[in-house]
Amino acid sequence: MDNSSPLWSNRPMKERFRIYGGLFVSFLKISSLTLGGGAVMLPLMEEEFVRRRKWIGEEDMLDVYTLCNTLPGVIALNSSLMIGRLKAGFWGALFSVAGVLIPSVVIITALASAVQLLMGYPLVSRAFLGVRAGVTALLLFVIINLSKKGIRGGRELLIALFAFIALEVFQVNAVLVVLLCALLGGILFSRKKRDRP
Amino acid sequence: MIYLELFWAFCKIGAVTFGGGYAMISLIQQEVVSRGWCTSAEFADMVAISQMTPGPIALNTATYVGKITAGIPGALTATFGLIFPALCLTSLVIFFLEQVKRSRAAEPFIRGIRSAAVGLIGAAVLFFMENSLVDGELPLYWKSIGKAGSWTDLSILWQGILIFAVIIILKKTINIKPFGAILLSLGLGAALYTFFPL
Repeated sequence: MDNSSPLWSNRPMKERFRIYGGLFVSFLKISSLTLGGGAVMLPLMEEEFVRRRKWIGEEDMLDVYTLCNTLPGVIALNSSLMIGRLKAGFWGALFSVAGVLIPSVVIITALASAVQLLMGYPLVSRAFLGVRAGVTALLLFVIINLSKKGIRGGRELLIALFAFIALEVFQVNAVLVVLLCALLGGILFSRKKRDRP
Repeated sequence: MIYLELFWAFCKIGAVTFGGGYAMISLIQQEVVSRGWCTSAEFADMVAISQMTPGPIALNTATYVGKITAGIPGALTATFGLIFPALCLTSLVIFFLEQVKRSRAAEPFIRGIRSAAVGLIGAAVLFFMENSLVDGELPLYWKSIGKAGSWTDLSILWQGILIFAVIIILKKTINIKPFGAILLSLGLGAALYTFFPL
């Protein structure tokens, strides 16, 4: 944010609402036009807020990227919260999150009822028999890409296998599996390279 | 009470997953199928639809589960449950931005969770293979591994394999987007299973 600008709380009401509205509309647009979630939305947010509106500095955007990768939850929401907060405080964050949420909640809620109705038709239920095979293929690409980035050595592979076996073979509660993997990571990765002789 | 249950189930998931929606699929599946909120087949349909609609996939799936379990209030509760822990944590982190950026204490734990994500998505891949590439569930549960005939009873669904292969090829050659891939699988499914019923 521009340091020479007056304090946020001292700005006139009209200007503040112009910014809230801008945040809301921008996020509404990004969320309703992108398929594929956070990884696809982040570059669009950068385009909108860093380059087009010039509301967020390059460095602040870099912080958003870093933190979204270290915080739990949905990336698109965490990043909208941070951008809104950086630009316009608490209410800015609220309007930004609402902008991301509204399109997907409205569309899915409407679709859920429609699909339940349509499932009564044999042709539709046959179509959905086919869709599972397509999703299998898509997920295979997701896992290959993620492995290329995330599995850099034996320790990562060990944790991934542990999670898989715990889930599939022993049907351990998935939340517990994630917590155990965090603990395993804490044990396996905590020795730093520079400490070694 | 159903709303509290929905909130708690999705709150847990939102608090422990890092690095995006696909790792959440296995967690959501276990929570909702074991509670009887929907069947495995219904859940698979939901994930497919969530990939076709705008917005983050985990969010879409949560809204969907909430909607069919407890109507529109259910949809809002599940959605809010999923985002609640992250919103709290993110708001908190903004105040301590500089300290958090310098601190490396959480890094090994987060690396552990990110590695786990690969295993979680692996489980999701198997889940979608079942009843689409093979006609049944893979007998990987330790009690059923040794049972005679548990593997040989499975037969391959060539219709599913064909759709799977088509999407793989289109992804490799023209990098087909998820929306197109899902739409095409729906069409191929309708055609293949109409002319060659199970």
